[in-house]
Amino acid sequence: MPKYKLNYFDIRGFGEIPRLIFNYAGQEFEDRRWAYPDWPEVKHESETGKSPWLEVDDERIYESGAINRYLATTFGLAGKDPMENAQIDSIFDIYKDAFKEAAGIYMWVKSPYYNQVPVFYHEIVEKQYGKLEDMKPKYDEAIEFYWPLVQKRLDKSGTGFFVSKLSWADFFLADKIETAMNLDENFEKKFPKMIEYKNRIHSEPKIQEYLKNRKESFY
Amino acid sequence: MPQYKLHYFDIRGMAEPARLIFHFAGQEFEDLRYDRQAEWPKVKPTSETGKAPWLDVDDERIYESLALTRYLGRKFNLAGKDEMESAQIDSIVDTCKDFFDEVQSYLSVKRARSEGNLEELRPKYDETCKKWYTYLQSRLDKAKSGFITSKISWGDFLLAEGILTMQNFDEEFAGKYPKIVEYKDRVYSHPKIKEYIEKRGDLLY
Repeated sequence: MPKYKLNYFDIRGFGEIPRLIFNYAGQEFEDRRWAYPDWPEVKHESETGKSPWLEVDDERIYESGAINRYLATTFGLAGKDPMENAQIDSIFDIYKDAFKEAAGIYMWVKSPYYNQVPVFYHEIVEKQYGKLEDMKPKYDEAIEFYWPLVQKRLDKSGTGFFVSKLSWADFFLADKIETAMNLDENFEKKFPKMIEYKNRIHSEPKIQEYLKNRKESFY
Repeated sequence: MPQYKLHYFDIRGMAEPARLIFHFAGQEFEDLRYDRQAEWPKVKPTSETGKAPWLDVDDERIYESLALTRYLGRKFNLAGKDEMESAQIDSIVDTCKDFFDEVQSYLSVKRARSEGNLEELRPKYDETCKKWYTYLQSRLDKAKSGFITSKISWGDFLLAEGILTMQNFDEEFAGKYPKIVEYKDRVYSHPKIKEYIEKRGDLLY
């Protein structure tokens, strides 16, 4: 069995899916986490200047999509065929594209993590994106675009999962629904079927223990 | 045999790696290229994401360039020899995407597509290039095959396309990163895509 070490911020963000997969599989792993203020130091360890990265013995995989896909394939949480995997990949990339720039920055500014970084970052953000109320419309637009698209595919699948069976796509989407709920108390009213879907995925027995014990993370 | 239809603009951009895969594999496909002014406004509403490219495989549709390229890469045996190699391809390709996101503003100003101060943007651009191409070179050195994994892959196609674009925008690029340009040339000289590359003509990006 290889040694696994995940390296990421102490948030869910783009690091939670590997944690869920490892727990689902009952696979031991080192769950290294750092706080936002520590990142400038840690950053030097990253060959790409980014995180998360996954260490598998003495190899490293950067980029959350690559990590998710690799672990899903290893632990039985991939789609049943290349087309299902393509649909999973697609919905993951669509999320990243939709929540870039103002929509994504809005999430950060609204979070408790924003005040953990030096004030000069705030000045840079405000200069480029304006204030919270300037960014909110972009965020709302992204939400109104993304979740109906997800619903469409869930309806097409008809299995209760994003593809024919439980996959990392379901873990990812459930995680992002949780984030959406933290960012907007009206999300539940706007997308009740998404809440149902999230609750169903989070009732998966193999991740109960982990979900019960993990600490709160705004996103 | 499924019917493949690739929908994009008449540029290399995000769809060229997929086109390279089809040519490499000798696989017929419909290579739809929409004129941005004349045709795209009518076609755009047919895209559920409002974006291109997308790939139709019979009556299924894959949005997002990396998702569709990876799909084709797997289908045509261009996705590495095992799961770790596939993961490295994914990883390097996503890092490349991040890189282009970051240098976008500089390249855009350079092309006079947007306003800005090149002098101001230059240091960040140089730093970002150095970080990314150093990493890429380290992966090439590690693989030892001349490609990013043990044999040519869809990742190499995508990276080569990016390098060509950088050369087209930055006249100093070849001087700064000669081994990277060599790598690109090596990819393009593969017998299964050489002819297509020579025939396709010079597209800026």
